[in-house]
Amino acid sequence: MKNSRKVLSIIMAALMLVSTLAFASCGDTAGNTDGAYNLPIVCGETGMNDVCGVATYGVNYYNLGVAAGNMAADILLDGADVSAMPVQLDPSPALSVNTKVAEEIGFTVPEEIAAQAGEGDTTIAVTPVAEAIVAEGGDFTVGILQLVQHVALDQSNKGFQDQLSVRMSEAGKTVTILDQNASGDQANNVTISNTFVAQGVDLIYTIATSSAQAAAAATEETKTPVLFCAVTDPVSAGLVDSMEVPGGNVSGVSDINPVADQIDLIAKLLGKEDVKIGLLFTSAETNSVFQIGLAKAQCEAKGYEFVEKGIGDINDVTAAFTSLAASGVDAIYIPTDNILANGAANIHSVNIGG
Amino acid sequence: MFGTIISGISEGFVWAILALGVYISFRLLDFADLSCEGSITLGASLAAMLIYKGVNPFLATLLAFCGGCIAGSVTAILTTKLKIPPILSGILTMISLYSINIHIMSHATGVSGTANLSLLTVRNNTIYGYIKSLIPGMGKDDIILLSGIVFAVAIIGILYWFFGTEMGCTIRATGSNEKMCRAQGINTDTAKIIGLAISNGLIALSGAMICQGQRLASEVNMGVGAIVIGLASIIIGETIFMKAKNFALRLLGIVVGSVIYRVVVSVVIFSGMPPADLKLMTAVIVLVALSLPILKNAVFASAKKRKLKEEDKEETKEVAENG
Repeated sequence: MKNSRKVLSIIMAALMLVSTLAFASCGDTAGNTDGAYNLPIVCGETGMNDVCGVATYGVNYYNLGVAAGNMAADILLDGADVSAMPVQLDPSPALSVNTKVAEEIGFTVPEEIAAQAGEGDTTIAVTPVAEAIVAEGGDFTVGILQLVQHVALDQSNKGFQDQLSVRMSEAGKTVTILDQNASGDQANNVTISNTFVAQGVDLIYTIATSSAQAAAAATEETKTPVLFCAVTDPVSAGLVDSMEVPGGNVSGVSDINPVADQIDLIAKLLGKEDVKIGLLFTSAETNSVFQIGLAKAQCEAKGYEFVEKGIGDINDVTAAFTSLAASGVDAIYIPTDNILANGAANIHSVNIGG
Repeated sequence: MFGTIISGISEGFVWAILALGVYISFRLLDFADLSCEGSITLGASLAAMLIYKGVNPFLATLLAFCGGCIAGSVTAILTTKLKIPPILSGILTMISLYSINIHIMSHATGVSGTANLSLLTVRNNTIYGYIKSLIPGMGKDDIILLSGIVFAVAIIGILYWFFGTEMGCTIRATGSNEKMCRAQGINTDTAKIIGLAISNGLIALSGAMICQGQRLASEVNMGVGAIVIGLASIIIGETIFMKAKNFALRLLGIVVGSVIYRVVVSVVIFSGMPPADLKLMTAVIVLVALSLPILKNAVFASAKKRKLKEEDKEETKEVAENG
């Protein structure tokens, strides 16, 4: 008994030491008030942009649905081969500008960009043709499998149906749509996919990763074309061999943020072509590394200079900013991942020297 | 409709393994074990990770079962040794498994925070892919259905044997009357630990089979709603096999209950009902199954009464006629 108390007290002491050290290292970040960097930041997604960025492009889920609707029409009407259809991205991403952060860091967003964002809605205008969708006995049957009721996913569903109806009416055909929702229960993904296959639908449109995987598994033998939407990384989800050549009966639209557009936006914001961009990312997150790969490719394609800075956790932000500022970057690009998204406020306070 | 029913049947057999696991904790041990939702995903993640790493699928499935056993014992130890209430112990295990499952899947991909591990690219190295290569003429769906039946029957056999042994009887007795068991000198803690280990092992096994079969992926949220499927299957099975005294028949009843439940849900999904009402409909199905015994009794009772009344009347008539 005495011995166990001793062990316990040693453990407690060790714990206290560790937590003190942890607090001390936090203090390093909080205590840094050396000065402001005031660098314009372009983030990977609009949520982060609202906290620490000046402007960015965001994904519009209705547009993703429209893109998938076009792919479906190509497959059904023109007999396009799914295995050769590249995975698509948002054809018309939405620009948003954060004037509050811009003011705080003393950055002037160019007139034409501010005006573009002012126009607001970048949703592709589609006028659905209700007659092209019939309840029964259409020329084609399309099954829709959506994982759960959710605003973004509902938009992807609507965009798909709207665009498909337009393409069908243009071709003088009709389509029967079987719209099913798994209500968040993944067991239902399997039931719905298998039934679509048994019903012999011509195409399955799936919204969200686990739904797409269930449909891909169910169509292993029939090779019914499967289109997905709202899947961020279809390659590691095992849905396609590569973004360019899917290789199987599955392809679709990814909801990854438009990295290339975001890099181009930096040059537009700065109003010059010889820009030097700091790329700040979390080296431990593949998601982050993946986006930085795309960013570097775009920088190389456009001839922009860039400096990479990987961080381990959010406490490294100050050091990273110091090093990037020292190398004379004009702006910073931050992709989206869990650590950076959660640390957006922290990044902002370091940037303004708070 | 036919395709829906077939799909429901083959899913039902795989979920039946989970239902058998839930039956052990819920009915035999009288222990409301919520770790179920975590251990089904644990089984799926473990099997998926091992298969991803190139381990033989049968070994991976077996190891998934062992993983589930460990999870179950943790819940049991929390309750028996640390005296944490059963529901809370289950919840603690369930929430910790959420993180553990992500770690397991991350281990496969090398990416921290992997919440979805796909087996689509290694589909030939699953148990079903393996069986398919042995029996080339068969379709995948037939293999899933057939192996579901074989697994379910085999597990019923093993459970029937086990719960007839001294250990098994101890577990059943613990569930029936714990105080009496203690009075007889039975270590009820050990009985609970072993019982919950087997229960969660079976649940993990069903998770491993689900992720290799019809889904070809393991997802951290795949366990959501699993406890409902398990309980509904048990209750439907018990309602149908109400009179069954034989233990093997009762276990069979659960398998039948699971199949019926999945078929009904499949039919409900395809009856053209608005998706938002699906969960409500599921609740109604379970509610109907739960109240069936009482309704059945009520109907029987009123029929009996009517019969008695008629007999009574006839008797008075006879008496009156005979003077």
